[in-house]
Amino acid sequence: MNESRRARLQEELARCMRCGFCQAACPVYRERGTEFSVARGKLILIEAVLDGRIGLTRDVRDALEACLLCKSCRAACPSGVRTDVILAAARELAAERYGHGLLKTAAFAALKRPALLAAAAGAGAHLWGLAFAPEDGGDLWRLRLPPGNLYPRLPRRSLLSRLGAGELGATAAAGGRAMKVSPDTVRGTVILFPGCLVNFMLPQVGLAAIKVLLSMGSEVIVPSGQACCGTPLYVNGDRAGAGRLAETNLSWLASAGAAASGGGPPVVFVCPSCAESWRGYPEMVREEWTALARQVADRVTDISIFLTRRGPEEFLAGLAAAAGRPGRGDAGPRVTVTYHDPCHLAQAQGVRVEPRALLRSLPGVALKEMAEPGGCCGSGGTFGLFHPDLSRRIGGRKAGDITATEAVTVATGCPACLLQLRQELSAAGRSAVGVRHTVELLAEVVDAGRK
Amino acid sequence: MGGADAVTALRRLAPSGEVFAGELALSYAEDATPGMGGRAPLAIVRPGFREEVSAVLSFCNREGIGVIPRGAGTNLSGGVVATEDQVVLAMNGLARLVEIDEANLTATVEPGLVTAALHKAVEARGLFYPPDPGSMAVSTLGGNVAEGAGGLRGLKYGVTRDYILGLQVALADGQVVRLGGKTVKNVSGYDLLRLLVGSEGTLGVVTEIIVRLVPAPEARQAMLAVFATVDAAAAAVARVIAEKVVPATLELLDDVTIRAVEEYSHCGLPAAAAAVLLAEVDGMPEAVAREGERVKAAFRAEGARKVRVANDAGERDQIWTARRTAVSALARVRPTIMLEDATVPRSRVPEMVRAVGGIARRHRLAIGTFGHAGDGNLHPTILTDRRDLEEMKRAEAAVGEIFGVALELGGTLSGEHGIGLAKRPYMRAQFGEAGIEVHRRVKGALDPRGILNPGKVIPPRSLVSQR
Ligand SMILES: Cc1cc2nc3c(=O)[nH]c(=O)nc-3n(C[C@H](O)[C@H](O)[C@H](O)COP(=O)(O)OP(=O)(O)OC[C@H]3O[C@@H](n4cnc5c(N)ncnc54)[C@H](O)[C@@H]3O)c2cc1C
Ligand code: SF4
Ligand code: SF4
Repeated sequence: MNESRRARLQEELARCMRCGFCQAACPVYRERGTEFSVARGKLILIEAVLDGRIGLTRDVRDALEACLLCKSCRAACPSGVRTDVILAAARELAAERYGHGLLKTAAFAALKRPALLAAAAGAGAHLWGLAFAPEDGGDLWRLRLPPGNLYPRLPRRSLLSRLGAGELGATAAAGGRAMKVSPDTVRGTVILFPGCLVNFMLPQVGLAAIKVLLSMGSEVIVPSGQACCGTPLYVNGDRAGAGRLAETNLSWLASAGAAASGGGPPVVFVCPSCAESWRGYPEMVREEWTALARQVADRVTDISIFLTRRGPEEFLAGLAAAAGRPGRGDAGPRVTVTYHDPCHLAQAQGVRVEPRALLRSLPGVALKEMAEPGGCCGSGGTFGLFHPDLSRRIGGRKAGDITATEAVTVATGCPACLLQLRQELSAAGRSAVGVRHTVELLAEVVDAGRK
Repeated sequence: MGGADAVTALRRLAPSGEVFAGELALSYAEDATPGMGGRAPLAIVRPGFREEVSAVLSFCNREGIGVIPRGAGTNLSGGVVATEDQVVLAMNGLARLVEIDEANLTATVEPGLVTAALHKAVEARGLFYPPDPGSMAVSTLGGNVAEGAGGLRGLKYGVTRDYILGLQVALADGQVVRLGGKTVKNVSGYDLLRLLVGSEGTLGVVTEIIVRLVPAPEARQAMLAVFATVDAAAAAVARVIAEKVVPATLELLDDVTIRAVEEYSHCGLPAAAAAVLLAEVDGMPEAVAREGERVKAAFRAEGARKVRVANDAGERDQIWTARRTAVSALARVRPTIMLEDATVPRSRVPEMVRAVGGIARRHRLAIGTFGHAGDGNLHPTILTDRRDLEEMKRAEAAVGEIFGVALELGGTLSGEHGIGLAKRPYMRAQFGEAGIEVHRRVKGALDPRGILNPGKVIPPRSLVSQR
């Protein structure tokens, strides 16, 4: 870390007034109750490390790692301290001095090489199981993989390969760098960035998003060879690596954008962590990319925002028309659905109203709030791999909240939350509760209309 | 005894809890008070059972090791700032809500319970625990008791002290005593209960609290009034009181605060206003309507330029946003804020506000003043940067002068934040040598070896003679 970045980090740290208000927001603090679990304590430690008062010892590194990077503390902070930036920078410092744990290094190698990721997925291998296969005794004791698979078995084919095979009528565009799916009448163009989890593990979420966008008259452009958004690298201290991925995605966007009918279409996300990462690209990329990164950052949109941009009423009308039947007035049996707020959507982007408006607009759906819809699910990327007990405690609380609503389905807006919720509900013996991305429920209505 | 030995011994004494030392202990060095320093304590113990509190105390008492009881660490007086030879007793692991007794209108809680969690639980049953410090989303009830915390509803409902019926306290040597109980009336023996409230962890460690509850008010009405001068606002406060209306809340924001709040939250405050008053009346619906009118009339009579009354929950929320975001808004102006709470009789509020303005000018400091005008408890808040040592010196000097003025006006150093380390040097000015000696004797009687939160509240003899 060079001097100027260090100085900026110290400047940011100085803004923490130690009020402790982050305690109310932090899922890890809630379980552990120790100061070093929460942003305030971590910031005290980081400041002391920078001043040379303490070393970046194993204890300190562990404390910094025991964090979901959920940004809840940033959202709760009265001083507006950018805790997420500080926490990521501290991990960068740790990585510089001590390297990433070998396990993580192996995973990053895969994430940095789209082809490797795709190959791993194509072989039907368990991505994380493969990536995190212990290579060295040093970190072995920290890796306590839960019995059974952490994530469900990978689907046989990824979203991009299915689109490549022409599913939903996708065709090649931008000289093969992108794929395009067009509605009968084109009323606009969007770029959809599916992200790794959706591409490899939840292709049905990507397909659902495309169907819904098509039903609204949007032409959808998807990258043929997306790179990882960079989040896993960035949050684990590999800012430079994340920057290279960002540049890959930006350069793809520049060429795929050319395939779009209008200039600068919105870039739509079904994964809020990817969206957050893209918003942070200006601070990750090298100088020559920053202008483009800034311009793109302004176009980053969560799909729920995009769909309700003209008001949920209009969306509902459109959806009803696409489904060929009336919407809200539908007097069928009503099923109870509850909604989980993903941290990176609700806390980080402040998006809470739109997904609910969409769900309420669905025919036959009664939305019932759980006790703490904004409570973290405990996923936090690779957090669960290194802190299985904590992750399970946080997730178990969530599963309890969900089952208490007696909802048939829990909807959410984040693929990582979705996978985590499935696992937690099944651990709680409630695998009958469906876990779906909001757009999947919307797509069902579209499908029903087609039949 | 070194950190490692202490950890070994403490682990044995608090087997269900968490015990650690080393670098991580540094995260317990400070609290929300700026510029107090603080060192990594010898060890941290976070007991899982009350009995472990006694065991730890009796051990530390024998060994002569200082013990700092700690809740959420949000106090503003350096009350849990540590030195390297002290043990921090983190009480937030004892956080059960033991019982809500609707027949006796009491709640029994462990000290680590978060204030807002108690609010939520009792409000679900139509009951009300009025003390509401601005930090209630994180502060613990043990910390509230030990500081005698106040809040926005103090004017009508009083402060923490007025709601404590009983305490279980572990003494310095680990013995446990019960003070007070569930009865509303209780005059047996000395009023040790009140002695413990506000004792800042220096006389005993609170292990259980019985609080008094009241029925929740059925209706509320909030309003906001804009004034051209602080004097006019202060006169309006006096007129409201003279009208024999006691609003639950009556808060003032001065011009510096108004501008910061408006910049931050755009809630529609006129940036040119010199003062804003926020009031809320509550109670039975008819009474609320009547009292609301009287407050409004009082505001108008003193020249309020604009009075906005909240017609629904949304508007009420909007009005309170102005007050709730005051700290945040000021905190964003500069990195460090020094939130003081020198308190004066309410009739002296205008003089206090003027004096603070003069002090700010003389020391070239930005000071925003807001707070509980209705009870004379204002928060002059110095906006500074803890890394700028020269400016911090000026800020310290300004704080000293603020205390001086408050005392001259018949006030007190602290209305609700406590003395801790930060205000210790000014104790003599308020109490004189004799008054401090009384403090010393009480402390000596309850904690003869001086292990409980050593160095807090009572100035050492050397410091006293300096000032
Ligand atoms: C932004 C902000 C706003 C605030 N607003 C208000 C306000 O409106 N009104 C107000 O009164 N205060 C306010 N405070 C100050 C603070 O929140 C209160 O003093 C609160 O009561 C402290 O509680 P705590 O749990 O954080 O205690 P701590 O800070 O951990 O400790 C406070 C004191 O209590 C002692 N203590 C803690 N637990 C125990 C125990 N179990 N037994 C014995 N002693 C114990 C400690 O030794 C220490 O002396 C505010 C603070 C901040 C940062
Ligand atoms: S809420 Fe913000 S200012 Fe307060 S302690 Fe946490 S990080 Fe610091
Ligand atoms: S990012 Fe989340 S887990 Fe990490 S300190 Fe902040 S609130 Fe806690």
